[in-house]
Amino acid sequence: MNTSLSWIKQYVKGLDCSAEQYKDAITLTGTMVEGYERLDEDLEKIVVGRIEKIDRHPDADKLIVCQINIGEAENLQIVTGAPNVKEGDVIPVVLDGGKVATDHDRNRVKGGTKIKKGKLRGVESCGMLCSIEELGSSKEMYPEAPEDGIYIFDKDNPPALGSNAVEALGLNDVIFEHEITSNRVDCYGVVGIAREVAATFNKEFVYPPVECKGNDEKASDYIKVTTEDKQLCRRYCARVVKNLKIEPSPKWMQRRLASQGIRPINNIVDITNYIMAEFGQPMHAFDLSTVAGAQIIVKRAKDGDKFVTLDGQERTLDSDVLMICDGEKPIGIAGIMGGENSMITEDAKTLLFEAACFDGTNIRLSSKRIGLRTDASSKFEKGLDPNLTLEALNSACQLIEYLGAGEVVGGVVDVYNDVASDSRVKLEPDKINGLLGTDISKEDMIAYLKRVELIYDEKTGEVVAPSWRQDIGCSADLAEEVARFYGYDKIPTTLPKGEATMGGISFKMKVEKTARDVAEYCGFSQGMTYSFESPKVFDKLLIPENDGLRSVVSILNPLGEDYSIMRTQPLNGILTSLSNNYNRRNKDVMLYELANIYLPVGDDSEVDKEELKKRFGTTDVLPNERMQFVLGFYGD
Amino acid sequence: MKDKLQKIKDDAFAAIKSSEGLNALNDVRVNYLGKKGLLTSVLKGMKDVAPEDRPKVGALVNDTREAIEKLIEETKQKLEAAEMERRLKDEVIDVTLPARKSNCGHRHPNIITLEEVEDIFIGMGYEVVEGPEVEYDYYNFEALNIPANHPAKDEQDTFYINDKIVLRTQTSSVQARVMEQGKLPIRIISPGRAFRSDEVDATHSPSFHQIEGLVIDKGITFADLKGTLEVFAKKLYGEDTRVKFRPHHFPFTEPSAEVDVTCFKCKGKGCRFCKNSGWVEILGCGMVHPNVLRMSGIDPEIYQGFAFGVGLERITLFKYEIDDMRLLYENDMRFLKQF
Repeated sequence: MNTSLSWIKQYVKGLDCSAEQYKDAITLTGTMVEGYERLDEDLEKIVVGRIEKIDRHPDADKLIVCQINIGEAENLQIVTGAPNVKEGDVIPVVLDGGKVATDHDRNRVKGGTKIKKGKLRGVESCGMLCSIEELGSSKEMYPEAPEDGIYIFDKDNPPALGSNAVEALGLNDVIFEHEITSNRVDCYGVVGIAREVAATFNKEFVYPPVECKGNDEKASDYIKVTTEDKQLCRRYCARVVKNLKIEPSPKWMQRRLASQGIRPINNIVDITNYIMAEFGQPMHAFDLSTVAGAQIIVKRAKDGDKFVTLDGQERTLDSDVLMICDGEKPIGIAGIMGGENSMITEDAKTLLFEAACFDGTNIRLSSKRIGLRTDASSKFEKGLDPNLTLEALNSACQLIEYLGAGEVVGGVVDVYNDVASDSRVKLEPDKINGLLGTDISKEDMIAYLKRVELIYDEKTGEVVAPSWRQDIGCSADLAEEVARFYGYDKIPTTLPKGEATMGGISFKMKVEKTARDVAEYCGFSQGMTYSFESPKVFDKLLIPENDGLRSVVSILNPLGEDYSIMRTQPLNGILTSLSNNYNRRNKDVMLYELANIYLPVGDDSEVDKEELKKRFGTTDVLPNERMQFVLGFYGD
Repeated sequence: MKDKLQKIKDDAFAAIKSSEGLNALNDVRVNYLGKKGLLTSVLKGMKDVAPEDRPKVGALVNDTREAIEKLIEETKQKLEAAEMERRLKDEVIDVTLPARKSNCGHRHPNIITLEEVEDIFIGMGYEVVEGPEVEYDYYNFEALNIPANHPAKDEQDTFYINDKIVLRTQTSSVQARVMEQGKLPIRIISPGRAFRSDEVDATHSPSFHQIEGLVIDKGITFADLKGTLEVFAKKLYGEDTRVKFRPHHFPFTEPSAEVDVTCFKCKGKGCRFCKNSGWVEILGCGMVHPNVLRMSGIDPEIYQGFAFGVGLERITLFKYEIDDMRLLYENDMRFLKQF
């Protein structure tokens, strides 16, 4: 999960920390930072300038001489070969002694390249005009940048001359790569991470206010939603936007998507992606004119159904795949990917926004069977908070209004089948201290919990966990929350007290140890090979067709046939090791191995099958595992 | 007769002079002086000599014999001296050469590390136990608070034998087996193989080893876990090693942590080995989840405990600065000899 520091700062009031401080602090409260990139790492002395005058270079056809106004009394003279600039353009300029991110061949170099004053064909040049690549970014992230040439700032709203161009482009930012543990679904969105950051630095968390009333019409007049399978679709929320104006999204939104590694496309697609990045809630937009019968029906597909997803691929479905259908046909695979037949095109006029909560396990298994894992499915499969859907949907509509991308129709169609309730866990401070080995006061505990919106209910003595914290279910969970913000490093270090125990190894292990000692004393070195091998080894070893060794334990999903059976003899391993050595021209090789073999146990074994079935769901007995000692050597 | 003896003498002298080496010389001796030798046969023919001439001939034969014997002896000494010279030359001893290598074999680096770890924990009163590598889904997942359809099952890329039997993905499977025996307190470590369907590369192997640790008793705390693992890290990597506990998530422990130790190569300054962070992650751990205790018949209101899991290959690679995990399973003598 990638997030830019500037985006986090929007939700955390007064956050002031360096990238390194952020990384260390948030890692110690449980959101590990695997790495970060400072976008302006290799950029120095780059300011905003305006080209006042362009002259031809007296001695070179392809060069021009520019007089640049950088807000100072005197203009700067810079010689450039860039073909795309003209007088009046506002551009980024790297000054004498500054640094850009690329080398002379426009390849990114670590540490950047220093720019010095010099003469180009006899004419003095005091710096360089910069392309977006030279600023360490790309056209992917800055779609308005020219294909090949100098970046030119927006003519209508240029930044102040002489101001920092890196800041003007939003490149004074840090992108953090977070590792999110599977229990913290809420942190798959920037908002969730920001909440953790606020708690870590003990700052105020400012939740973005979400409100979008829309016009006087009613969404329910446009669309009807039915969820046939209530188990698999816990909640389905829909809103309608009409009079769409599809165009590029504003730069601030493009920058933020870019910081997440998402390529900007147009305002509608960008809004859905933005909401997914912000809340971790996937959304989908349908062209309402393609939705037959003005209705959405959420139901299972039939075995063998075919469906073309919006990437143009035909998918084969089965009755465990949940589909979004209109009055006549399927228009999307729920939670995985929309259909080609209902996708938003440039001339769509009215759209239907969907934000839903599907069963995580179902989405995970369906996506596996269909062979299609998307950004959306990877979020759904973790099991999302059903209270997030409406929040996300309204926020998307708010953005539509804010960007002037269309007219939001009033009202929401909301089918909520299984309402999520807050979970409550009794706060037992003694028990928590007893588990942690600490002496934290009840008041302090309550304060730590409050930082992540786990609120203590005075009346019942319980802690109330909001619906996005589905991982809070018992006292040990509260202990972890307390410990995270108290600081794992502050918990004392002690050794277990209580009854003394005798350490030692078993008789079998002692025998193995002796075998190792003897073998090594006799000059054999210890090898180690895999426990699985190819069924072809029996022929190689000339083991007769009907030999018992050929009865094996097989792996259902091996890495390949060569690793598909559990070995029933240790010979192949040691012979393979010898042959490896021989092929590498090693002389006089003496090896031994202590190798486990796995012998299937026949049906006649005296085990209580009933008991097995009850406990392990199978009547199969585990194979017999036996340690074998094997020697192999060649040479003089 | 005199001429005959003179001829024998001349021939013998020629043969002696031309003989190269002690063996050839001996052949000459046998040829002339031996029982069936030429000179002996002359003596045998004495009966045909007139009795009055016999002493004369006898003296002549003896002179001849003595002359031959003398020359043989002289030659023999010369040859022996030459032989000695040659051998001295050939067998010069260079006292600066290293001593002859012992013929002992070498233990696998994994096992050297494992024995070290075992010794540390045995010293703290831990029993070393083993469990099956082909394991019921129940012990590998369910008893560890990972119910059916839990995403963690996918994350671990399990090898299946059938839908209820797996190649264990973690040695944690031994936890429930030990707990359900009901003998408390528990203080064990359990080393062994585990399997995950990862393609082979420098840092992944479908077959690897873990060392599981489990302590269950009344009043065991997270502080005890910290103290125990700190002792472990310092014994394994040296007294100046520092240990960092980071909050993490495992379904079978709560609270959970991952443990970093100061990089033993650069001592925390940052180097290529620790990717400039100064720290190296070596294990995952936590307080045993109450659900896990309950499922194995232990009352979490009375007993609590901690568990940890160490990747053996990981600590071995770090310890010996080996940069490719594949080397551990190739059994190349040139590699194994270094341990």
